[in-house]
Amino acid sequence: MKWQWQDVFSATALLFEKLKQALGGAIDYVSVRIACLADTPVPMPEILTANRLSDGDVVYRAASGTWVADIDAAEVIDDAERRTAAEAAALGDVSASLVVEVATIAVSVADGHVVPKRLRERIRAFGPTVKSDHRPVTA
Amino acid sequence: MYRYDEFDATFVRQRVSQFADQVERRLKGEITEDEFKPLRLMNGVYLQLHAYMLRVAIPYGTLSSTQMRRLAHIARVYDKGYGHFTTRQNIQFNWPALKDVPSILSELAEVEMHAIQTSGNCIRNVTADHFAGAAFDEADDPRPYAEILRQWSSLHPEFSFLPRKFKIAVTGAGHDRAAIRLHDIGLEVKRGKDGGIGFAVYVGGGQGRTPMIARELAAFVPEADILAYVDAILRVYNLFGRRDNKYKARIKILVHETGIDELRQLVEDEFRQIRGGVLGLPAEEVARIRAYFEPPTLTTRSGTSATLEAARAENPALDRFARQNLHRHKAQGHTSLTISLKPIGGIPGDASAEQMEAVADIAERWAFSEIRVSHEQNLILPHLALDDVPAVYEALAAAGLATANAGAITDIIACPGLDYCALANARSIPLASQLSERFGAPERQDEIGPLSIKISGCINACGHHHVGHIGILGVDRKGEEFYQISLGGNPDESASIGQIIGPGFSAEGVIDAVETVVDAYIKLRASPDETFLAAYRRLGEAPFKEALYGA
Repeated sequence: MKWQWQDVFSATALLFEKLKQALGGAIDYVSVRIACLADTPVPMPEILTANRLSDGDVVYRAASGTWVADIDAAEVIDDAERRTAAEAAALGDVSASLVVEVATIAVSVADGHVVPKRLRERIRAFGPTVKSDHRPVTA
Repeated sequence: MYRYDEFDATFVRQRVSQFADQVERRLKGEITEDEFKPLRLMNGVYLQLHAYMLRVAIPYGTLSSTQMRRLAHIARVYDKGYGHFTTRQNIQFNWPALKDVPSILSELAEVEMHAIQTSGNCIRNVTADHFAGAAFDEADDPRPYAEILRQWSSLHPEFSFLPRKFKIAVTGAGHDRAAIRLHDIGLEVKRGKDGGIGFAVYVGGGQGRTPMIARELAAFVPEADILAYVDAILRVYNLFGRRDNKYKARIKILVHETGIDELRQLVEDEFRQIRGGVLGLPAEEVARIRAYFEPPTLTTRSGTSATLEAARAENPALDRFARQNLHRHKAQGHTSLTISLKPIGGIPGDASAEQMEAVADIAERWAFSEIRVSHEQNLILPHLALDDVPAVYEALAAAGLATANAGAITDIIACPGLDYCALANARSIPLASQLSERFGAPERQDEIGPLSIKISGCINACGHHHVGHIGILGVDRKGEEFYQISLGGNPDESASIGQIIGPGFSAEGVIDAVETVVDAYIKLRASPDETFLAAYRRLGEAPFKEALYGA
């Protein structure tokens, strides 16, 4: 079979799964990041995002430690120490069954508006880009 | 239609209360996400980009008006007013709250529906030809057998933790509308020399990152043995299927690595041991299940309808609709009507609550309250008198559901893509909308003829891009959406996997690229009767490559 770029991805994913198994599941992406990146400089502003457990809504971590729907209210982090603390606190909120799928994402900030770098995160923040006449307008 | 017996009703109710308890404990923090995730997945609840997603099973794509109304109700009360019909003949709700899911499942149970086995490494919803029981060309209705397989596979303890998910499709006709050669097991209902029913069995088809066409495992397995034979396949797969790498765990890899002949030997050995045992299918049990699928009593009618012909002569839009969206029924004077969920520029497979209710009402009034979901993400009224087509057309038009494009270039399959899906690398739906607009003019569609475009937003291929006449695969290239075009794919009895034609295109460039391919076809075809697929198979990729990239 011909080599495909997806194989690299599968190998990485598999390695992570093996590591997870070896450690009895006590590992997740964020902890790995904390371990790997704690001492590295923050390349660009970042924010923490998650999905709220009860309804799945996309939320962002505010400086107060609460999770809010408004991305502009997210705490924009640009130093490593602050990030480590925020990520640890966010993991605490996972343990407390408030949120799931915590991730730290790169953003840019302009005119007080926070915009994620990656398209995936922009779609999470601002909603599907599909258009449809029959969709009712919702709050 | 199949109706739950006491056993079905009890086990679905038990499952709902079990899951309600699990959700409650999760929300209270009594169980962790790691503990809860497999439980929610077993009940069809995924976490996607924006929210949870609930996938509800529609066995072999058959729905009653009552069930459709309930889906509309769920869309309105618990979601954002719409639902999304999928290539697995299921429906997905994109925005339910976890805390509401037990109530949704409870409401579904009241109309004999559930979300069991719509996720996980188990036997998924058994799919079937959407014209089953109605098509002029079928040997027999495949749905009684799909139902028997559903009952056998539901909560089957031996097959609840397979190496990977497992998909079975059944067709009753030689012309394959259920893509059985792209499933883990594909069954074709056949008639033996004595007129008895049996099945051609195909194994190891699939799409995803390693697309493969199924191989024939048995040319004819008699009806009485089919459960034992399928069970034997599952046992061999369960034992020998790879569990070390999820990307190599589907049965297609086992077939590929073992070889069809050796695999057949393994299956036959297993089959010999269990044949004639508890999995034997008694004729009276088959008859009992078949009774649920008896076709409605249709009035004897003449082959042509003066009412429809007169209405067509008067209304060009209806004429076009009748030409495009009707499929020949086995009973003369009747038809199977496709309700396209592909409005020009719209979202493939989406229907609003109001549209679902309109379809339920129309089916109830004119079509025996029976509705099908096709894997092409459309709805079907399988049994309709030709005389009633004009009235049904008017009612559909009033609900925004009269798009005349079944099988045309704008009848696009697209996965949810990066707009919804946590796995996607690129968007699919906006591309489908733009292509639909680009080719949407009726004259343009008529000029092009039958041509399928299928779009997936990642290599998992939920949008069936491998078997699109024109397939489009979205990838992430250095943070940018990028689209590969493949040509010559086909899901029917002459199944083929499309071949990537060359370097990919940006999101902006891909629409023009598809049009270049289409224009090349129109220029190159032997006559307007030669379809895109026929022309591609005759000419090969070279002229299309040249049109796209130059000599």
